[in-house]
Amino acid sequence: MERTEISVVRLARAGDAEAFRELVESHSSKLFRLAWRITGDEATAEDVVQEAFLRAYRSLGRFDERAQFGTWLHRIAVNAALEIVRKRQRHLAPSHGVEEPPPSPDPGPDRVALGLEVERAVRSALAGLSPMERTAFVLRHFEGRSIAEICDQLGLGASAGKQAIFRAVKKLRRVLEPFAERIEKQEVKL
Amino acid sequence: MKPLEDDDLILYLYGESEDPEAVRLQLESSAELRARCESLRRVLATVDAVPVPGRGESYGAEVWARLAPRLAREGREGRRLSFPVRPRLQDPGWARWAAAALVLIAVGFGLGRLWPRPATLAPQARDRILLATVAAHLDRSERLLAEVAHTPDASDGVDLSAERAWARDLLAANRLYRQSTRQAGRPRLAGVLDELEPFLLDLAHAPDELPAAELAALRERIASQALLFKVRVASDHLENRKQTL
Repeated sequence: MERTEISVVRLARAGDAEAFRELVESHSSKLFRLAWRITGDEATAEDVVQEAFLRAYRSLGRFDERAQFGTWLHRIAVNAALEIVRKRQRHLAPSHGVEEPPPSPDPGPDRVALGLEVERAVRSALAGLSPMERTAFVLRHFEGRSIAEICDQLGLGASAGKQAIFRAVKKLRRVLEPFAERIEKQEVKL
Repeated sequence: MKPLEDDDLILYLYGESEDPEAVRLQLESSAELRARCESLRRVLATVDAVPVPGRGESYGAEVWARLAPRLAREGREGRRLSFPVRPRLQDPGWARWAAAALVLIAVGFGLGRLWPRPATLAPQARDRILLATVAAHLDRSERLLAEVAHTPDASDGVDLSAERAWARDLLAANRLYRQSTRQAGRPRLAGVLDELEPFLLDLAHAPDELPAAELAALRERIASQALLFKVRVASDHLENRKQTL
């Protein structure tokens, strides 16, 4: 008979290391994607994944079985990512945040070059967001969480949560609008 | 009808508009609005252009390989876990200790039911609730302070509207917790909230676009008053207290 996730969680909670291993293996890739989007850096995202599972392990006894394990873990990972990004920012020069200057929106030689340029621009624009703006945006845009869920997850009031997303989108727009227009023109030409 | 702003369009595009039908009607009747909405949609679509670095099928196993020694180390160091780590079943020592613990728990439970409850239980419970609530408040305040401290400079002013709204939310709670902690005989905690309050107040009333010099002054205030440090220390202290209560 196939085991349900909650039965695996119960086993892990009872101290079964193999069951916890099963949970780690089935959720790692998803957590990495989330962590990478919030941190923008592979090594940091790896650290977030480790930290999230470590925290989950320590507090598994407090997991409420009425909730989804994945949702609970997601919340732990978001908080771990925010904390790690902030700690690392404290040790960096004040100029950190924008890793490189936004690339010029001048036309590149072909579509491939444009793709690379756009990728660089998006990375740069996301790096220009504050940790809270970036996290709120990632949760809304990539993870499809509602603003109410985001506010709950990040401990924000409804207005502050919305503002964080609005600000993120407006900052991204400042950098990305010329690229967005070029992509559309190229697609029409190609 | 109120003219739509970009914020309304962002909510509409994410399916979170309070009145999507009204937005749709306004979009139908205004080419300029449609162009703005389309521009936002294109920008949001552009963000999807960055691929997430791939991880192979064995990634979960790799994560576990790195994690397992840490978990084992935690167990050896006797770190308090919220669930027991199951020892090897063939270890007879474990079974003896477990049986003894069960007897102690059962006896303790029985005595607890027979013994009259101490009169101090209610204030203790109140204290526990207060500390947990203030801990969450300090955690949120710490995030806000860190957010302001790390907001990048911009020569043409900085949009701090999100932080401002956030500070407004925290301000009302801060006043309440400051009074409650003082009444509960926790002057040091009340002192930290006291110091935090003027900062929250000023941020809550900051203009939409904060000039760079004013942002620098806010940051300077966080640094010179060691606000972030004090809030973090108080927050850590409460976290530790929560575990021992």
